[in-house]
Amino acid sequence: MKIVGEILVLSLILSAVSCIHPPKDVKSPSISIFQAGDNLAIGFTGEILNKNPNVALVDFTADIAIFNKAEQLLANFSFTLPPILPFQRGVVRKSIEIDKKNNEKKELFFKLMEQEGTQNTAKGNAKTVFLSKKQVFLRNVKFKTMTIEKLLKS
Amino acid sequence: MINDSKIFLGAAITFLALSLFFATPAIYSKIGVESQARNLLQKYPNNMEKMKEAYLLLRQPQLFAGYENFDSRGIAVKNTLQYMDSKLFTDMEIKTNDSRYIGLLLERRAKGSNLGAKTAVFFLLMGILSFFALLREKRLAG
Repeated sequence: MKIVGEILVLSLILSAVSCIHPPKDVKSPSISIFQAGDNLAIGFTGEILNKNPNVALVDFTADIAIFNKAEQLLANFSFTLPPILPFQRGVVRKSIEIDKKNNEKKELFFKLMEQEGTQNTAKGNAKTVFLSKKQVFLRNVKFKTMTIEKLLKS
Repeated sequence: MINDSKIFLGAAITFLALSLFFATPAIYSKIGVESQARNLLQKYPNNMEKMKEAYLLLRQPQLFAGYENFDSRGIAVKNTLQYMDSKLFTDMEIKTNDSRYIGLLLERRAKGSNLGAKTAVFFLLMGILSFFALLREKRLAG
């Protein structure tokens, strides 16, 4: 009987844990490339979707690594987000500046613009590159969960 | 003659236990949650705090009407959750018109508890049938 009880408790815990869907990828990733003199300003935008119906993700921190199609690392950065409510998206915006000394990195971005094709954005002469999911990786994802009722009551 | 009393007894107990399992959340939802939320929505359509209270009551889904899967009809409920969660989280004013969105959640919850109640009745009938079969079996054996 004791073993049956333990199995029941374990299965309840497992089902409770498995109910939480952690974000696995970045939705709609894109980068805007803006050349300011010899420097290059890169603006990354992407979204983290909370698929959980009743749980908010709080204290969300993670790293994003961006690669080109030749699997060369273009950028790697950490970010934090405010609470992501159920079914909603947390928007990641990050600015990265590449100075004139870092020619190798600049070349990689110029190549990316050539390979992927760019679209002009409304902001001056910035060019936008829409990335595929295979080029953007979400790593070291850490977050706490809070039921939405608790969050809204607090 | 083979005596199936034990099988009928086991079936009757199982069906009645299942009936109780399905009936409990349905009754709790109908009496404890739905009536309270309906009262709040009908009596205080202009009171922001009461509307918030009604929404928070309905925010936890009923066992048979979870907020995980939505078909094209249920998508309004998903949109309601996004809209109302954002409103409450950012302390935006809840307006009288918002009561119809909360009403959608109440409707979904009522559908879930109705399903639970009907399932409980089905298992109860099966339990009663098994019980009668048990009595018949005992009479034939005895």
